[in-house]
Amino acid sequence: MREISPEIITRIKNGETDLFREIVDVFKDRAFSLTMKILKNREEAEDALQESFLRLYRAIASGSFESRAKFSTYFYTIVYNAAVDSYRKYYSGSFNVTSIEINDANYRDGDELSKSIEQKIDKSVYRSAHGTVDRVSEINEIKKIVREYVDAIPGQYSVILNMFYINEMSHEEISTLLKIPVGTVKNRIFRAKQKLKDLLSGFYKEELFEYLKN
Amino acid sequence: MTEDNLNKFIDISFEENLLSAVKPDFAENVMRQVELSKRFEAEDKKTFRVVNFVSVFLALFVTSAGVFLAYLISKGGSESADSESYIPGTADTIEQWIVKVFSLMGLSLSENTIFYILLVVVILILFLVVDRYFSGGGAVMKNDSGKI
Repeated sequence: MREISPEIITRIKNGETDLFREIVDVFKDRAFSLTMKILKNREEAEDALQESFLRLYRAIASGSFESRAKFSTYFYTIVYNAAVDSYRKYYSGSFNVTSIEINDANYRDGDELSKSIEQKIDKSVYRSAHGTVDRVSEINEIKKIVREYVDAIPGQYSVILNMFYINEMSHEEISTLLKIPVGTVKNRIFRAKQKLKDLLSGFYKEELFEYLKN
Repeated sequence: MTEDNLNKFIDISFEENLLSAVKPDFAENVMRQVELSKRFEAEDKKTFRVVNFVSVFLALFVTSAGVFLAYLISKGGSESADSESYIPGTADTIEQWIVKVFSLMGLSLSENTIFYILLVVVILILFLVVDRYFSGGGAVMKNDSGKI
């Protein structure tokens, strides 16, 4: 992840507002991915992100950012808080991305992931995929499964996955921001990966390798 | 395909599929908002300076007027006999005027009571001014940075 140099921060603070565009360009898509995972609505997610950039600008201009060690962590904290604020505003309910609501006495850790996938993913695709004839079709099927899987992952997982893979935050940084144990962060990433491996287990490994090469 | 490659495949899959893109004009919109914010902030600072100056001036004026009035009332009674003095004469007039106002409301107050009431009013006004503009109550300079 590209970090923003202290010199740029100082210059923005001293009035060179145009340089702020550089920050926007570096972070806009990565941060948007996070607000989208929380709000699940394009307009609301863009509004929350715009508000985040404004908060960041004000923090830089007022000098309150200077003491922060890592720019990206600081910014993603603003983004997460802005998205959570928007969620409360639009859905007037409590937002809880970290804990999982359990109503089933036979619940086992990770069940909510399987349940969500089973409800949303087109099972006929991965069940019949193995029967397809040509390699290109199989690779397309793999892409479809992966895309559907990622879209179907519940928020308790997708926000963490997004912070880890897209925002390149460490387990510890995610743990601090979401106020959950590091073990929980690691566990959810592991389970999400494991579930995808299970879904793709029906494919020949050569097809997966082809996908990787492409 | 080794386990390492499979893990690599999974990682790439997540990286590719979790990333979303904003609308093409997003950055321009943000920069427009930033420019507006910068302008508003400059105007806020100017407004704050003016309001600050006016409130300090008002506070000083109210204090001076209150102290002067209190002084006149406290001196007025004891030196009312001194016809050469300008101040006691004025004090008498003001005191009579205040007594008249209170009597219109059906209240009969002594010099000391009026003195203390004026003192309380002055302190109250000073407190409100200080509270409004010097202890973070002023909306114009409210900090709006991100919650961390």
